[in-house]
Amino acid sequence: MIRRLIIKELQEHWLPLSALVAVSFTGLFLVTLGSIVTEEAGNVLGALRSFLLTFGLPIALVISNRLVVREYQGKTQLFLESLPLTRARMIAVKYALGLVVMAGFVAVSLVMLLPVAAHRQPLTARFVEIVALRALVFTFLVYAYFFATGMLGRYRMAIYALTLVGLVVLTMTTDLELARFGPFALMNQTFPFEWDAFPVEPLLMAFGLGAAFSVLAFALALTREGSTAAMLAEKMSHREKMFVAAMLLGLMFLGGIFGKKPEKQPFAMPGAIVRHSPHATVSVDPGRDEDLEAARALASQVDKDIDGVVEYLGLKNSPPVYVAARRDLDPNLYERGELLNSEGVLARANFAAGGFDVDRFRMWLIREFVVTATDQRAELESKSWVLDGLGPFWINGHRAAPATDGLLSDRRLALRALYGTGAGTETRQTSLAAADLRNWRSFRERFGEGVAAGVAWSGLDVLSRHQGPERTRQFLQAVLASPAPKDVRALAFEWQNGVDVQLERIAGVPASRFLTMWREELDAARSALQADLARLPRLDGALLFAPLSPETRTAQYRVAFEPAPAADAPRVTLLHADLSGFSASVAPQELQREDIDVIHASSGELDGTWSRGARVYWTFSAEVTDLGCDVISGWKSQDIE
Amino acid sequence: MPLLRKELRALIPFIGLVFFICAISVADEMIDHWPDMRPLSLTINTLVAPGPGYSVPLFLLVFALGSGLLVREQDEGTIEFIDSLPVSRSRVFWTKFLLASLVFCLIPISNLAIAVALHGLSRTSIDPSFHWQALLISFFLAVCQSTFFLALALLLSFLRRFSWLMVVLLVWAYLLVERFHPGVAVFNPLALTMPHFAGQHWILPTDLLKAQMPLAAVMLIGAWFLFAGAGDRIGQAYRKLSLSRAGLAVMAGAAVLTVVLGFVTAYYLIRQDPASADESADSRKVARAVYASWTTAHASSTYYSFVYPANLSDRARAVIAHADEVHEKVRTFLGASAEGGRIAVDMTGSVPRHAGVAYWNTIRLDLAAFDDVDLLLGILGHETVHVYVNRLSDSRVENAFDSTRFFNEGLATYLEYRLFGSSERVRQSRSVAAVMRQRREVEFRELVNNGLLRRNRDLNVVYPLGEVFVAALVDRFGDDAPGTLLRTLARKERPSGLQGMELWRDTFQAAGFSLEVAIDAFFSRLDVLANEYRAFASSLPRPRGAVHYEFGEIGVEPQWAPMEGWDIVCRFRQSADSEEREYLNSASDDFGVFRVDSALLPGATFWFQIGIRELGTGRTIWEPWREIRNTR
Repeated sequence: MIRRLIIKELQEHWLPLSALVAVSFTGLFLVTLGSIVTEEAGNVLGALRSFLLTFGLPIALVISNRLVVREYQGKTQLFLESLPLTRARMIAVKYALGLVVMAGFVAVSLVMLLPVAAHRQPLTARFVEIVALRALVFTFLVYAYFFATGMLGRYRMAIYALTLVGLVVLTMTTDLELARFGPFALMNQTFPFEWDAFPVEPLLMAFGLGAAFSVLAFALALTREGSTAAMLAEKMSHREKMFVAAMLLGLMFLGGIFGKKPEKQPFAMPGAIVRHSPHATVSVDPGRDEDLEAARALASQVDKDIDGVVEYLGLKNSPPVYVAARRDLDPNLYERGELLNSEGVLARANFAAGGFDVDRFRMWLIREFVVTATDQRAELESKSWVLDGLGPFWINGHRAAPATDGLLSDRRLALRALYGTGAGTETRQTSLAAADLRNWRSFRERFGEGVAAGVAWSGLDVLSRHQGPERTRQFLQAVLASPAPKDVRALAFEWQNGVDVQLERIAGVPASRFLTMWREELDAARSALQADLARLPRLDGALLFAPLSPETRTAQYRVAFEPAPAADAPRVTLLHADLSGFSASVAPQELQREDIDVIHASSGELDGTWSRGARVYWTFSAEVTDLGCDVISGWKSQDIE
Repeated sequence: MPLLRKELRALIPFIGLVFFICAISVADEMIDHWPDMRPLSLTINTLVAPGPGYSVPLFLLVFALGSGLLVREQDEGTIEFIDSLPVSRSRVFWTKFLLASLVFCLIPISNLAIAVALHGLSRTSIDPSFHWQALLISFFLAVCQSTFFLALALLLSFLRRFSWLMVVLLVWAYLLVERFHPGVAVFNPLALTMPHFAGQHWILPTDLLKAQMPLAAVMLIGAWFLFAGAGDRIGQAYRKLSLSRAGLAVMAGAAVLTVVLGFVTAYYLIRQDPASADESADSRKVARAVYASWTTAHASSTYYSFVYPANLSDRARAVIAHADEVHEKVRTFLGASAEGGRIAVDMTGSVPRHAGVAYWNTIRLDLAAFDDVDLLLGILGHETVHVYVNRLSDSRVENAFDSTRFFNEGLATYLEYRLFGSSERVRQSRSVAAVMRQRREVEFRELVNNGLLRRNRDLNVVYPLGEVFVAALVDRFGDDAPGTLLRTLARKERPSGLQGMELWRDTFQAAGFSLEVAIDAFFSRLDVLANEYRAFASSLPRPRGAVHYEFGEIGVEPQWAPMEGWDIVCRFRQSADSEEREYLNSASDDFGVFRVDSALLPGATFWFQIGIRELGTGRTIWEPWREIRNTR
């Protein structure tokens, strides 16, 4: 009877099975051909791995569908059940037939590929055993899975999707490395190259899973005299399918939102000087023994700053600060390192170099610290000017008694403020407007971060002297340190707690009145520092693209330096970078630098080919000692025509 | 109208699913992000131009719906009811198709609406524009892509369960053909929604559209032809044929003929391989790949088992005689145990552009390419290092290839030079690193991100730069440092999913080293090299390339001040993430112009890279890659 049953199955399915064989071996041919001609797989058995991973699943799906799903959906199993044959035998015949076909694919593939492989490497019996066992056990598992899910009839699609979603969510939310998990480990990159060791654990796991699926398939087929499988075989309606799909997508979404987030790893710099204070942890890595003293001094200073800033602003979060030595950087050029999987602020600076300006670094670091501590919220454009002013305001004695000489208490910062708010050296009027504060990023792009920080400092200084240090502190706390909910409610929060609102509510001065006060103070300082201001250089320039061909260009620059550069004129640098997509700016470390000797040549040509249609972000920059920062010609985002 | 209502009703569950997907996107933005910190520059990769990460799931979704859209009527027997209605099958077909297409438009519409809303809340004064042109093009291309997917699904749906198998087959066939005819990329629907910008304008990929939209139309007509009646007739004919032995024979014959024709076509395509002549670029001047001879010989030593061409027995024996010494030097340096079995060495040939290549416990090298036994031993040593890197790191170096390639190649190169090399080869390698440093082209974030490195530079710079990094590492932390790092990578408690800087930071930290100190030492060493080779670097010309389109070809005319002993080289690729094997190397013509058939680069843009190569040594200094608009 079993023989007849096999014949019946073969008669029923011979054509689809033949088609399956033809399609599959065409697939194997394509995969193998690709492997041989590209010469990159290293071993033609790599093709078997690709074949099993890509074709193995649909082959098992089709076979199970023909042998099981079709039978139960068409209710033709009732006919088989009427035969003088136990149900278990009937299922066993189907199961064995499918398994033999699947194993046949593996066996034939091996027989075809091993002789080819033998030309390129010595084949040992152990190697063949390892490869064959891995392939067969993997195939067994895949087949058993599809056979068992075939018995689940209407729910099989949902199970497939659930399996996929489950694996994705597991990978996303846990430390599970799928490539090292049982069945996947069998098919990893060592598959065609493992000569010596049987991967016992993955083999056992895959075989165990396959056996479990097989038992499940038989259990479903035999439970309640087969009525469970028959009941499940009813086709799922379109509506049910969509409902299940939506449910799974929802689960995946919820898993992503509420699942275990990857834990941030503690970051450490072995050998670093570490300073702890109540609100801060600062590590400074000297890099080499000679720079130990410089590192110690910097660590103490930065620790004091950060501890103070956290307390002053009442920040709820105080990420650790790490400073690493980078001897290849210019003394006043700093880099932010990314700590994606750890918490903290990582800065790189050449702090042991001769020209290193520690106050300038502290100002920069305080800003970066607050940005990180507030999860970038402090960088919102509406509050950017406050953030930019914080560093110099802190360094310049935020708690000090009101200065009698107004903004002139710090000549350098005052000069920066005047430089950024005067339309030209001859102007005696301050050009600062409310729009500049609202569009602070554009303002920064026009004048550079150093000058913008000076302007912002002058605002905070004016506020502190007119409204008092405590009100200023509360204002800074409210603007920079109030935590907005991390969802759509942040919109309402910012609307209710904007800078202008906080100025009036906390600092006690309406925004328009504050701006008037600020301008008056700047005007007063401008009169006092007019001569110094006139000596400050102003940069202007252009980047021109000349045709090399219709689609390619050369880049030529021209820089104007006013007043005319003297022998001790600062070094001018052309900073530039390609912009992609909708980006409007780039990180400082991505900028290319071209040093220009303005005394001898104010124009020149950049190396390389430029493409028409590309976008370049550029400015000329020069360090001005009197300001203690760089002045720039203004960042431009230029399309190459 | 009743037909429209009926089809609409049938699609309601699917429309519900699409709305649900859209709702999930909105909820994700509203619950998990600050909506006022999501400008277009940040959402472009998730909402406006999400790339294959979106296109592949979209394909699965479209295929799942499309594969049941027509045949369900036949499978469930409702086609007879439809036939009894006063509507033609054609009308039914086009109604189904249009409604399904409209449903799929909902996803890009929803994505773009979310992106616009977020940008409205987040835009700053330096990027206030909504970039409407790019958004419209994005929508248009998303619609074209889903139409293509739907047309394919409708056509293949008549194969029922075999349709999925056919998709896998088509993918493999495409990959194979693309290897020999890169121009076939014009039919890749995933490339449609890959953004290419001119300024902030999204360039319409006209060549792709010209190829894919007619193909979609053909597939649609095919599906319509089968649904509107031919399918029934074919089905009847098949049943009729299958009832007779002669019919079965005819079908079997046709199937065999189809398969044979397929194989012949594949063979023909491979014989026409235009790329085979171009594979001349290699950092070690491997001018040709030597394929396995049918006559091979076997040998083994304590640590290796060899297969080599029998006609090179003397050379092979000379290598084999010293192979175990090579192994022991590498193993001792890395502090590894000798367990792990013999390493299989296939000396019958390597992969194109490489003198040797290593896999898990397996090495391939080209015995025929070099007659210098010391050089071959160096290559064997280099590849043995890779094998031990994999063993010691429990394959984690290979698993994180993009982040670790520079270290893997750097360590192998460092040990090759230190244990088996000559000072001349070290000098050449380091001069390349010095030139890059002087040109400010060395960025550590690129070294730990192979994709980023590939975008901008020659991938082979991982050899000289990696070597300098490992030398700096050893200098700063001692000879044990590389082995310690590899063993640390293999530790079980390591957090999963780390990449790039994070992976290395974690590894260095767990090993008790500071990555920042290593980076500092690396750049300091590079600065020393840059000073040492300053005169050489300054003497090198910086070539430019003027791109021209003529006679169906793309030409790059080099512009440089020729330098004695150096020649100019140029190569092309389709996209920033093209594999190195897909690069099109071109030889210059009589006018010194490098040309390539423009059909091989059908995208909206293409890339070229120009460089100079030292005659005799093969040392090559490449300029950064440049992306050019395809305006031919």
